[in-house]
Amino acid sequence: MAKINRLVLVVLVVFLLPLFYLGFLYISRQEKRTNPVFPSQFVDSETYCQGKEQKRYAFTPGDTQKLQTKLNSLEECTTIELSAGKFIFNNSLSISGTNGIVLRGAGKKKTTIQFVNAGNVNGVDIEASHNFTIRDLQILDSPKNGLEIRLSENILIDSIEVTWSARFGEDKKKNGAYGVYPVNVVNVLLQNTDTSYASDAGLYVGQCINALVRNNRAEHNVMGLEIENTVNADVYDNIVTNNTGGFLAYDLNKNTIVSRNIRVHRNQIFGNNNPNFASTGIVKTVPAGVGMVLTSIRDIEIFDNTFGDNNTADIGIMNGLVSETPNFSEWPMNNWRAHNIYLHDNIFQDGSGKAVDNGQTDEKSRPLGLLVKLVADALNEFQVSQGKAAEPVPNIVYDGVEPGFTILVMTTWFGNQAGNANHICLKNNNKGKIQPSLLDLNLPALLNNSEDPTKDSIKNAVTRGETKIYRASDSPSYGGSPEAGFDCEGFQFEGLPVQFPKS
Amino acid sequence: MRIFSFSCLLFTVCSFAFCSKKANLNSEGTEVKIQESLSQYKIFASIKNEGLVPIPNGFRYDLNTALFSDYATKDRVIFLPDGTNMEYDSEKEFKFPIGSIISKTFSLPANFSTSSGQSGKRIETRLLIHQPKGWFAVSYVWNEDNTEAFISYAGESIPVTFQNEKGEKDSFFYTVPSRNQCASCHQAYEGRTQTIVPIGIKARHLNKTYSFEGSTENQLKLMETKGLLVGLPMFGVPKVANAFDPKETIEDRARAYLDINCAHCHQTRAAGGINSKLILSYDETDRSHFGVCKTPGSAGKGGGGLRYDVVPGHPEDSILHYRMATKDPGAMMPQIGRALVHKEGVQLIYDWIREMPSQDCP
Repeated sequence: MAKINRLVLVVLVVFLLPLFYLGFLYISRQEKRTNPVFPSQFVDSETYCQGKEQKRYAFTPGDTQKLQTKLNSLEECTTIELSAGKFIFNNSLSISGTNGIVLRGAGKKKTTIQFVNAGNVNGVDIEASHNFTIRDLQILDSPKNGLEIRLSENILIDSIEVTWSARFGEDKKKNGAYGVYPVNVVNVLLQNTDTSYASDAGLYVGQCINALVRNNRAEHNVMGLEIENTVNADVYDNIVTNNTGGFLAYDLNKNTIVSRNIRVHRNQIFGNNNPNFASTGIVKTVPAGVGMVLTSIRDIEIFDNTFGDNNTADIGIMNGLVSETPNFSEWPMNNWRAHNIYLHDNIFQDGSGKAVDNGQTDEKSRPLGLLVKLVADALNEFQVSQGKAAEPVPNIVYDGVEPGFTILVMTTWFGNQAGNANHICLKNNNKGKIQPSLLDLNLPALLNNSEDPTKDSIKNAVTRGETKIYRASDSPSYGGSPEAGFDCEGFQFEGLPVQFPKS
Repeated sequence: MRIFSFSCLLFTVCSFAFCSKKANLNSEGTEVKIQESLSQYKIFASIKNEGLVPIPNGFRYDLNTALFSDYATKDRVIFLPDGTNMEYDSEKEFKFPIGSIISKTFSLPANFSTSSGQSGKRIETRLLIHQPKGWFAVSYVWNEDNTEAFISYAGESIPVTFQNEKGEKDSFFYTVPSRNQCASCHQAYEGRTQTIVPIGIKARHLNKTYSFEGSTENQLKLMETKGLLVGLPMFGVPKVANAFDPKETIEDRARAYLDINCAHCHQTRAAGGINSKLILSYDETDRSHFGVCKTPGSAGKGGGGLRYDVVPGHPEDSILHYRMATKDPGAMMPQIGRALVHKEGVQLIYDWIREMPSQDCP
């Protein structure tokens, strides 16, 4: 009896416990992913209201009080029609807990909803109202976000414009933060919409599941178009220009929705060089002249886009440690890395990387811009000393936190190959005037055990080859080959699990 | 003497029966008709300027720590349909019978006045009416004479003047919330389905000595004695502190303040908590969920250029403090319900963060 007990104990200790431990290690290292249950198709207000009693009310600019009263006593499947003209409100247009509502104007250049002395509210404010449609109107001068939609399903935003009348100097710093802001929405279709002069992002999709973003235009905002903590997003045919930064895909730390399955294609992302006028927030740290930023994001395919004339760089691929807490243990979702990025068949025109942050780098508010400038300067100095010509900042600036850095050693333990552990694949991006080059920052080397990089630490890292530029001619060493750790063909966009209407 | 007290008792019983029959408190389970004016509900025996007196089966109550609303004073009354009662819950709002009405009447402080120059005037009465489909929230705005209040679906913006701390004349717009704005605070989510719920009617807020009619009994006990509440346990009823009672610890006071002022939204079942992951409920134990060294969600302009919600020992570096202390429309918290800064509340949170053991956030 005692023998059997001992045997059990030995088996337990020798075999089972290590097995449990390995299992625990494996499971704890898996990326935590949300597995949401979503409706199988996009049900817009029209479809939702078929066969139900439907109501229709029309308003003219003189009826603002009547309109507000109606919005606060809505029954489901009501259409609110606003005539051409300017409607002035001192409180938000809010809809809460009612389904199948349509809010429509006579056209985005014809019907204007303007906010004057409206306190700290969003312009159009939608909460828990499913199958909602907003179309054909302009939202002007919202104190906070132009159109905010929270915790709702099946939202159609079509042919609206969100903008602010303050367009210069200090005045525009007071503009509302976001133009269009669906957050925590399941199934959102955002199309044919223009936003400008937002002091954060013009078009923002955050914490959403299934987002289709197409045919929109974002101009003169701090950040043009932003996808954040979103599962399944298809973003195409958008024009993003004249912002401080063009496109941002980003995951907040500690958010329970970890982005995946994002596809960004056929967008024009050029000439985003406007000075940063954000008053606060992470976008305040974006240097002027950035086309696209991918920070702590994964499972993203970027193709057939056109880049050019972005003064700092066309694309920045950054891990989250640069923008949020650099303490690895503070990232419970393990989503700090930027990885599984498939960048192919894009068109790179020239004109980018010629003046980091428009030549006005600011150590305090936009330190990353300064870092890129210092690294680029050191590289050029080194080039020139070797008898070669100086070059603009490479099109793509990448900081993956290098192999060798403790964190990466941990995550490569289950088989990712060193060298390209973050699975970055660059392929066929040679359709434009130039073949893009990539600057691979090696932050640990640049920092050289100090808290901030110094000119010396940067120079030394560059001279030692620990931060370098990869050119198309260096292929396959900068991605694309299986031996570099990333099988490009293995990348698959799972696709949107819902059917959105064709444009 | 005996005859007198007997007749007195008889009178009370009669008036109870009489008034409750007259009142628009339908029997359990039926819908309450939404009225154009407050008097039509017949839940107040008098709504004259000199006194807003609930009918006898209205139960006046108050809270350990009240929600701040531009220094307005509040008169709270629960009306339950005859012979019904609320069911106790240790954490969530009590379960109410259909047909219940909760009323809260807001009046200006004595040194605030409206455009007509009236001081200490009644400004609005908010009703939460428990209909078969759920709670229905709506405000009634008082006329200038304090003699009647009329329904306001869309809300209103009422100019108010007062003397500020420097003795200067100052003014602000008091906002009566629209019906939809009511739902932005009185909310609870299951998935993406929103329900409207009361905020103050929770055991921890009500667990205090009853302060009306000279009673010294516990408020929840009194509700139970009067037959208004069932299921009240003998022990273990939670209680939050009075945030402005210096005898309580700073931790308890701050947590109580944040619970009633912020946690209706900043909790796991409401929009603020779901979006920002900043959870300010009194029972949240994870200090990082509570904002300690936590970078904000998409705070946008709200961050005030600061990195963390709470930096222990450094209130001036903490977004939580900043957003309570500012009047910047893009940044202030709570998002609706205040136009003024609650100086005492801000000071409390300032002291609370300052007294935390100092810590550098990474």
